[in-house]
Amino acid sequence: MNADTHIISDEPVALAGAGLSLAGPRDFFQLMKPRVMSLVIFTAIIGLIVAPGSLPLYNSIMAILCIAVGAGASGALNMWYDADIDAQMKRTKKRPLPRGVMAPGTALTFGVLLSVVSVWMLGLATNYVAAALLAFTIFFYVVIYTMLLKRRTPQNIVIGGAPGALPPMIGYAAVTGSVTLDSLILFLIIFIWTPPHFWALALYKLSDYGRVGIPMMPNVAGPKSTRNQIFAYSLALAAIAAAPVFTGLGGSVYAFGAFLLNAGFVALAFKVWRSRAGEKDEVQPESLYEVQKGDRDARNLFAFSILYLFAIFALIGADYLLRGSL
Amino acid sequence: MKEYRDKPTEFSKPTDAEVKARTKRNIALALGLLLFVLLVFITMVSRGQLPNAV
Repeated sequence: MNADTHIISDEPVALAGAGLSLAGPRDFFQLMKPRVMSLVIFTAIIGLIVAPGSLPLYNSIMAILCIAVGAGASGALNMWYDADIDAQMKRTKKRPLPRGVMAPGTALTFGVLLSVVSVWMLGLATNYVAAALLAFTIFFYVVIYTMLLKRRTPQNIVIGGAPGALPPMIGYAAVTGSVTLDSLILFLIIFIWTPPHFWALALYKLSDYGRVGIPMMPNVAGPKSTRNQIFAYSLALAAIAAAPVFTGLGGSVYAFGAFLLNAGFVALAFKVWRSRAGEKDEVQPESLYEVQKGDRDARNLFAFSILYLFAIFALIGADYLLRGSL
Repeated sequence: MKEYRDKPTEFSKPTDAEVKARTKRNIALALGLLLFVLLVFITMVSRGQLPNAV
């Protein structure tokens, strides 16, 4: 028998010609949601930098690698579970499972394997508090968010924001072996930032989520209520982002930068609050321009929110390093 | 009912794209395993848990 011949399989797998998968390493990498991973890596590094104490360079690199791989594992498990709705949404239909280049079981195995390896390696390289937090992050994202909340409640991304907010806390715990007020503040900044960030997106990209039955706030509570909540969360975010100044986590550089960033965030959220963003379904021809303008405001807030989070964490890290060098 | 002694009679030659994807997967898997073994080893050593032979 030729080495390249393959017994025809009865298994219902996403197949091409002879029954072999067409998935390459790039598809597996795509399963790990690399764009989400970049934010996870960045915030985890900041958590690791600002934590009191020190970790040898090799262990620090391992900690970041494990946190990134753990986040990637959650992404793979999320894509395994959500393949049905991913296939119907424009933004996600080109993922490996909806494209049919990979069998669902392969994504599941890949996700489970990476989860186990990343948690175990993090425990080995740093400590078991950090490893337990990483395991909790993966569990929360896959089971609590993806399986239980995402398709059931418009509060999905509020509660489901927790796993995305945990990486800096894990980085911090990798050094200290504990959870402190400062690491809780780092967690809260991302946790409170998540709803206005996603709802701003949902306001002007409402249709896809609604079509596949995901209850996002704009299509359940309506655009007006969503805009109110975005503004309320932006005020709460400004308060939380000011907290590092009072706990000593942030110094004067952070205070100045965070003030400007918070002013920008609240101003943009205020514009969205006053606008008619997301009211496409109720729009009359004469107010179409107003709604389109509102959607632009929501898009501006969404774009600024990405910059905001990177900048806030960069400020915390830079401020800490500056104070250390003086 | 199929039994183990039933010899398969139908075979299909994979396409070039399938063979290429499989080769890439195999290489990635081998490199991934190698990296994993190395990282475990270095991590153990960094914690002072030296293997007996060292």
